[in-house]
Amino acid sequence: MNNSSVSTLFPDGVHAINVGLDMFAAALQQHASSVTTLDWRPPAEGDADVGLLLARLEDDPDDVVGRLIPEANATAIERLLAAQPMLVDVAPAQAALGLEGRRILHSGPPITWDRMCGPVKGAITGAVLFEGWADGPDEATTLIESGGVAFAPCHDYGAVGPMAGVVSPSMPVVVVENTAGGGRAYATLNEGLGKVLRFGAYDASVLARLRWFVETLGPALSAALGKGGPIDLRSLTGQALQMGDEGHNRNIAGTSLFTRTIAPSIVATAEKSTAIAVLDFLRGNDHFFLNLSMAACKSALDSAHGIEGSTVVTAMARNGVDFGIRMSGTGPAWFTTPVGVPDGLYFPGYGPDDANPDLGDSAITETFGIGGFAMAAAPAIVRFVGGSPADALEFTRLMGRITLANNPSYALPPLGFIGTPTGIDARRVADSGIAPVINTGIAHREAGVGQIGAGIARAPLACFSSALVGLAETLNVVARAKAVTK
Amino acid sequence: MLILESDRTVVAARFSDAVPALMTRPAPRPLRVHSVFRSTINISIDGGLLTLARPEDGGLPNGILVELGSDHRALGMRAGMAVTASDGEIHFPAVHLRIVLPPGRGWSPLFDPDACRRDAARRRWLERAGEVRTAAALIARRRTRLGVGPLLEGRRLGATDPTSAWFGPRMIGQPELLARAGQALALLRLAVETGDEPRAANAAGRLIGLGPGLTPSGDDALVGFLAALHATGHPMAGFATGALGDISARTTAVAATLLRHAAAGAFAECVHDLLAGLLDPDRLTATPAMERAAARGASSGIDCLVGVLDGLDAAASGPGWVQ
Amino acid sequence: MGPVTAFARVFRNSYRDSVELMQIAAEIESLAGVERAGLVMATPANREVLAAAGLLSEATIGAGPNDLVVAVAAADEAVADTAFERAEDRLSGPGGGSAGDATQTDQRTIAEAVAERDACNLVLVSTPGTYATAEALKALKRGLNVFLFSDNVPIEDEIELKELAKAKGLLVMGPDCGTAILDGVPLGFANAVHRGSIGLVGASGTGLQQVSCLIDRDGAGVSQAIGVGGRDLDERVGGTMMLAALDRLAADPATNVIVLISKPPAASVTARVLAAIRAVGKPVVVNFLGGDPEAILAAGGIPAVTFEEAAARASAIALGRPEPADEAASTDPRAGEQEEAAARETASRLAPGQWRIRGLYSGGSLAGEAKLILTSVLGAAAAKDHEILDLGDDEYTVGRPHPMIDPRLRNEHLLAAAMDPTTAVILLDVVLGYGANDDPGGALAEAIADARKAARKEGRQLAVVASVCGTDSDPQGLAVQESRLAAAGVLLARSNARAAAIAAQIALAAASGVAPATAGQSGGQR
Repeated sequence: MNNSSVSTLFPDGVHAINVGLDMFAAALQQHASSVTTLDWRPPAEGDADVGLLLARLEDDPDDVVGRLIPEANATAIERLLAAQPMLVDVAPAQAALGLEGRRILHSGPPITWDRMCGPVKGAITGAVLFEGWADGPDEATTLIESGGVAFAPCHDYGAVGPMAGVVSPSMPVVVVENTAGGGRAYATLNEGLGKVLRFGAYDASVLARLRWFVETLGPALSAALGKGGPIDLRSLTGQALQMGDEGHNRNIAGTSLFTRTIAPSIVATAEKSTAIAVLDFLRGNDHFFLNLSMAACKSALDSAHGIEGSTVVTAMARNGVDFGIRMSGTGPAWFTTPVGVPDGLYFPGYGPDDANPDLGDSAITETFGIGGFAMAAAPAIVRFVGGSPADALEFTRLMGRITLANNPSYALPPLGFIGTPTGIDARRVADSGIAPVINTGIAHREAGVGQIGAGIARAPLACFSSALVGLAETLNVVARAKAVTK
Repeated sequence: MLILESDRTVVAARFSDAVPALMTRPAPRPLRVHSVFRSTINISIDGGLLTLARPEDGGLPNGILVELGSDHRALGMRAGMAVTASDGEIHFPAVHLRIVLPPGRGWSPLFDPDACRRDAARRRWLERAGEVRTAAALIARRRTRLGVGPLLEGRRLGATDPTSAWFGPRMIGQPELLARAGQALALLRLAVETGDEPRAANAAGRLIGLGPGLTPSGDDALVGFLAALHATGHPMAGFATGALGDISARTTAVAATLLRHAAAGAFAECVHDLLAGLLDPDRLTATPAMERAAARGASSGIDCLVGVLDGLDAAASGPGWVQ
Repeated sequence: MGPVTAFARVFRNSYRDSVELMQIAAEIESLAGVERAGLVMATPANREVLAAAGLLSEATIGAGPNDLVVAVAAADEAVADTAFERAEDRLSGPGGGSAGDATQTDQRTIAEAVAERDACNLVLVSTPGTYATAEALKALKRGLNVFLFSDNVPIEDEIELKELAKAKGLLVMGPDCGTAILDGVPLGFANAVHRGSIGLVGASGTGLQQVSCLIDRDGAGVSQAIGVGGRDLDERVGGTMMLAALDRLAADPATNVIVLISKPPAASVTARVLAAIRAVGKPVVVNFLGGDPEAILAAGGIPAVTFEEAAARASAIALGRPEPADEAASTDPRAGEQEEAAARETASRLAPGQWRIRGLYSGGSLAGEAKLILTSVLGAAAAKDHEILDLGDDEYTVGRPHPMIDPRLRNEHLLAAAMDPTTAVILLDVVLGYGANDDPGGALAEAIADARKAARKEGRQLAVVASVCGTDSDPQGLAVQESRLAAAGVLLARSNARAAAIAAQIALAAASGVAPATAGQSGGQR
């Protein structure tokens, strides 16, 4: 029999989500208006307590925490999308960062000398020699081991550095100001490929190049910026993404655009021989824009940092030993886990046994939604690691599933000009198990050998779980109440 | 009484140069259908197989490319059915089908000896071997966990144990398969590099019939290895001719047929395509060629690729290059 | 999964392309009890590999390079045989891949699914219990109702989830909820019943199924069937969802009659439920298995002793028929003359010493009902000597599939019961519907034939009584299943209550010949 009355339980039909066994999906499919069977897996890598905590941090309009988090995230996203990073100056770290005494900055989360990896130790040794605090490598090591040099992460000073990321007081840094949010961020000048400090090399050619940075390149860029005015890095990055860059491992378009922009001012302010040397250096260094891109990302992300309750990730960084993240709602705390060797393509003669675990602050670009997140813009990169352009689109789409917004300033032509996926929500990472993709270079594990490959790394999921546990503590959320009374 | 039912006649698109001779010696030849798959029909002939394949799948050394619909199993042919082959024609009386081989549509499964000069091939390969291998490893990882593909990953991507849970081995016996295939290929390389023909035949023998698939992975890898030697004009390219003994007792009929052709220097079009891509002056054509090759079968394409890369390595070092 | 053993079988001259072989391997691997499967050609090299993997069983001797070896690592030989049969099916078929029309997405989280489709209103959770609370919580926070099939959810979590659902005006059906039919959509184990005006709410899975099927048989139909999970009427949970579901049914214009099913609730909860019944304003048939009918009457409810009575009374009201006479509706065992005759006839063929009823149940609530019937017919003391097992209970299903899905567990018990010389009657339930075994009657018929053979060898006959809980629209088909069982000589009853009553009659008749006193101490295995 058929009763004509219509039930009121689901006036718009049953629209079901099936979580778990697909045993019942067939019957549902026949009868329900729609069914989505999830590709479910235990959240938080199977840690049930963290998984439950994660559920308690979900959006919920009827709950204090459930309201706070999406509101805080909305604020964070608003600031990320509004960020207006401008390159305003190039100045010595001492002045720009207030780097006093014998203090050296490094990439990634905090780490002590004894735990540092080869390339970072090499770069620090180089910086000590460059600053003239010691006369030779052995003397430098003695000085460091006797506690004569203080270390801190770049991030503590608003700075970021690729690979070893070493910054010492005399080194010139780019000064990027987020004119929408007020903050400033800094990065060293990119040295190019080959024997370079960021891979731990410190021979005479490396130190000579650094001295040239101090004496010539830094002042020339500073003078040019003074004449031509600040350079809009958001606009440059936006254009570069339409020209096959992703702002992390491919910067050839960005570097070209930057060079084109600053060249007239350099020629106008520098002596001819200096201008030629500076422009020739920029011509020969495809990665010069990387450090500008990193500082731009850092300045935007810092404006979204420190919002109570926000689960937006504001930094991902590696020191060659640990991978660490910072989250907007958990203040200065780092959440770390040991870092592995990335999957990748090795230059002839090298293999995974030669590789250093993943290194550098450059994952700040992915944190801001470019680099690996903007792979769709840079099919050339995917080819390099054995993928197809379709894989590139897929990476970007995948990252869209763990981010909260698309950045309209960074439109991706292959995806119909949708913006890059921006604002990693740690909850979505932990819940889905989709780890952020990071395009990365691979350093030799011994200091000074340099880059031996490139590839794709995935951020370890454990960091995101511990950040959420940290946030839950600040919000007094516990997985299970100790005593249940009824 | 005579029942007349007209036969359907289909014209072959292309066929291997080796086919017409097979069919007409002596003519007409009473043959039988060996097996019918979605994309191929095999006919038993001279202890091997004659294969009818779809034009889009590319030429086979023992094959005729002919358009017979998307699923050959729908034609009504069954194993054991009678077939008559004669000059320029194959007749399937039970299903009223005639396939005509017009002259001028032959295709050579042999490598053109002038296509790639040996020293050029060697130089190109040495330049790009590293990046090609890494790309191959990533392709294999993405494509399949079956067959001998994990050997590529193990060598290139730093897994200490290519059969570890990370790769999620599902095939029973895969650790043993990988160990044996890896060892046999290493021996084969060594033998070719040192110009030791008996040892090469012994190592090749260990690959025959090894692994899953209608063409077992080891056979696919061996075909790939031989193709690399032939493509680079290596002096040991012919080592397998007559040295492998009675293959039909050691592997499937399909694989045995392809191996016999490979020993004689005849290869499928897709293998030609792969080697052309790997040795092209433009190094960027290598990866797309591997992608196309890897798409073949469940693991056959990757298995063949494993052999091709090892074959190129062997060919690029050792006495083959003494000039 | 426990320890596994390797098995292999050879298929001569078997040709399939690799893609197909992999599909077959994947299909075999998905079978319960199979850990891994491999399909390779039996070349000498592969035979060496299989030998190294410990898989070169005698079965593969003599196989050649054009023969296919199917190797499986499986829990036991029976599992392996099932795997080989499946392989044979596929290999002997026309070949070609399965249609594989699963529309599974790659969405991994509820948040993603909701973002994609904001019309979502229901989440089915059947993850391991450890993770179920989190998924249910995420669903509720997003304003979605929850059908919680998972078990092993702590009661504290259940309380929290249900309180949250109540505050948000949502339903949490479960945990350990086996069945529901919402707006005609079957969830979990559910039968294909006609839509109609009777709304069901129950803390019992198979109880709800039995009532809905009998309503269907009576020619009436179901508006909604809402399962709330077995612990909902526990004092700590407080019947939160039973009350919420009652509210929904009270407000539903398509529902004219309500049936409420549960074990007797805690006293405080009973009071609340009865108060709610009073306020509903629609007829409410109440089946508290073994509960006090007076209190129900006092609250304006209509008490029903058995599931069949509940269905009959609700159907009568829904169809506007006269109320069934108390006698007929309550399945009073003495009322069925036909059944009594069949029972006497069956009992007459039993050997001396055969006196015992062995109930082998797949449905927990049906087992509970059977116990009640035995007690009421035979008296509490005598009923204790008989045995009713709920084989769906955790105690039996650890590491094994539920008997509603996989008949093997019950088949083993069936054979054991047949070997016991005191067994007179085997009493069974057969549950059809979505999620249940494809052919439970067929599987049972075979096992019954084996059991009878075993008993006959020792000179005994066996009485087998069963009821099939299902409808003709179910995927398995009620008529088909009943005919399989009838062909196996099973005495079929239209309801579980009647089946239990017939079993009791046979036991009574048998006891009039032989007193069961001798077996006193062996009774009550549990």
